[in-house]
Amino acid sequence: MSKQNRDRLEEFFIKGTQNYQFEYDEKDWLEMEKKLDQADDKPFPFWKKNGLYILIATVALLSLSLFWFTSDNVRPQQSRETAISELKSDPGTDARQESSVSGSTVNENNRSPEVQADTFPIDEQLNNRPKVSKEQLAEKNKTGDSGHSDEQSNSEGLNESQVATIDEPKGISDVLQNRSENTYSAEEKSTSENNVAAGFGNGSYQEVEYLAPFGLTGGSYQFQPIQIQGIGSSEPEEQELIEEDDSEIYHPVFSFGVTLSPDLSAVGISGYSKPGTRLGAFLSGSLSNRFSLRTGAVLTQNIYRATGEQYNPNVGSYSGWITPESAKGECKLIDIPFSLRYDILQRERNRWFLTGGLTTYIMLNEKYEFQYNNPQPNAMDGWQSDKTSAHILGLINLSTGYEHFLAPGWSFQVEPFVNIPITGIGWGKVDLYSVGTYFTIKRNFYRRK
Amino acid sequence: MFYAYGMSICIRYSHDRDEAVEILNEGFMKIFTNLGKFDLSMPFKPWLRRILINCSINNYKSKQKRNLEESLDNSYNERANEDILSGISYQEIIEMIQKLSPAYRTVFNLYVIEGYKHEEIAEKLGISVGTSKSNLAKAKINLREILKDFFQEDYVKTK
Repeated sequence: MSKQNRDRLEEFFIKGTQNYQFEYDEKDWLEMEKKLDQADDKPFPFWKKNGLYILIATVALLSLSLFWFTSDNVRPQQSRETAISELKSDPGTDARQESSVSGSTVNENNRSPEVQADTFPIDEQLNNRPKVSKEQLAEKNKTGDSGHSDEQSNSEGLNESQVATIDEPKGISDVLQNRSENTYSAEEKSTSENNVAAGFGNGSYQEVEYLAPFGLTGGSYQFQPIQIQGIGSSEPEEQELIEEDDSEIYHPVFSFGVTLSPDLSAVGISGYSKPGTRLGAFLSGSLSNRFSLRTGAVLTQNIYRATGEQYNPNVGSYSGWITPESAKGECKLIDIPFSLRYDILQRERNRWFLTGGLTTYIMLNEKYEFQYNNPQPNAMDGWQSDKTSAHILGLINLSTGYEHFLAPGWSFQVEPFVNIPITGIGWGKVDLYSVGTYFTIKRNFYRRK
Repeated sequence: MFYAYGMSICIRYSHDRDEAVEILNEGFMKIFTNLGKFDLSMPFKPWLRRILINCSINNYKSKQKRNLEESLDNSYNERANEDILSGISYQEIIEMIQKLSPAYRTVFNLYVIEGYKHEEIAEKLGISVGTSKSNLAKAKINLREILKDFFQEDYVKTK
């Protein structure tokens, strides 16, 4: 209702009701106390009071659980490296290695689940490596590459009776001891001390089963066939084995993700009100093994409150503007981020990363509701616009996150973020900060080798 | 401080002081139980005002259910014979508003004092825009009558 339209009667009552005077009455407070006592019987719901903290705690627990789970999965790999160093330091190792170079055909089905989980993605590639049969191996030894005679080759465990099956591993040394006893004569042991004869000198053996069982805690194990040359003979080649494991971490060349997040927006870094939502899609491309670029479009609903001082609208030629005590804003916009991601920790099945960049906001709809301490019949109740406007690279986006690979080509990502304004956002030109956590399902595409 | 401010709102929507206190207490209860939702960086008064107006509307609706047929004339006539003091104070203005029927009083307060539009009032009260406009017009007619009577009596007294 505008001032011009008000008649004298309305003016009379507006003015008359503004100068109120009420004396405090003790009886009123006593009635209030009764109501409060009754209300004590109905406790305020815990989840309503602490909803945000519960959400944050849930995300943190989820992240920790995933981290714990994936840490278990890398144990076999760590054990392999440990095994190499143990074998290096053990003077009797070479002889044992000889004994272990046998047709390792322990039942695949008997692998523990823990170890089976480790087959992605490294073992996938390892399984695809060319395997050399025992016959081929024997043939190779006949040619003299390993420096052994036919008899030696035969005695080095190339027949079925010398298959190394470990039903109850008791430890690395026990396992190795068992093998050497089963597959070698005393004479062969003595000769192998100097000769690193069982193919590790200059021959090539693909069956490196002695690496495999060290991650086991019980049950039998299927040794994975790995072709390694001269592992027992020289230091650089051992290094090569270890580095090979690191290089097996797969890096997506291109990724597409669908994301969902709550949106908590406020003017400043505190004073968040009702959460909005974010729903969108991301595209990312790899720049190197650790760096990648990301962009996307996220349809965002911002809900926030601002005081009159924080709110600086461009009212233009409108002369009737009265600064409200507070304003409630609700905006629909498209968030377009351009970010650089750096993987701070990479494992076979997970990544920890940091992301930073700039964000563009395209405002689709703005709706503001103003509140005044005292009746302001002439003031604007609110303001609404469907006019599109843009804040190009008007915010800094920062995030950190955890990505977990679920299956070949698929991953799940949890990524808390903050958007920090560089320019005033919306009609009210407010310093609008947004925080939330992106939950993203990603499809990853790898380069064919 | 907030007591007087709250009462100044509730009294305009009430038939008498007791009813205003009832609405005010209801409003403060809502504030106490929802204090966690209140943003401390925001001014408190607009929030209080909004809650009290909503409580007043709820009170009006609950009473409307009890008295489906409310006669303006009854409401007016009951009060018309009360003594009217000379000079117009805040209390007298409030009493004039209180002489209106709840339906007229609520629309008058929301439109004239609070500054809501008819569309918003219709939505809040669950009535049509036409009813809101009609109630406002009738409220004004009644208030003019009340004022006329007040000044006549006052004129007679002072004479």
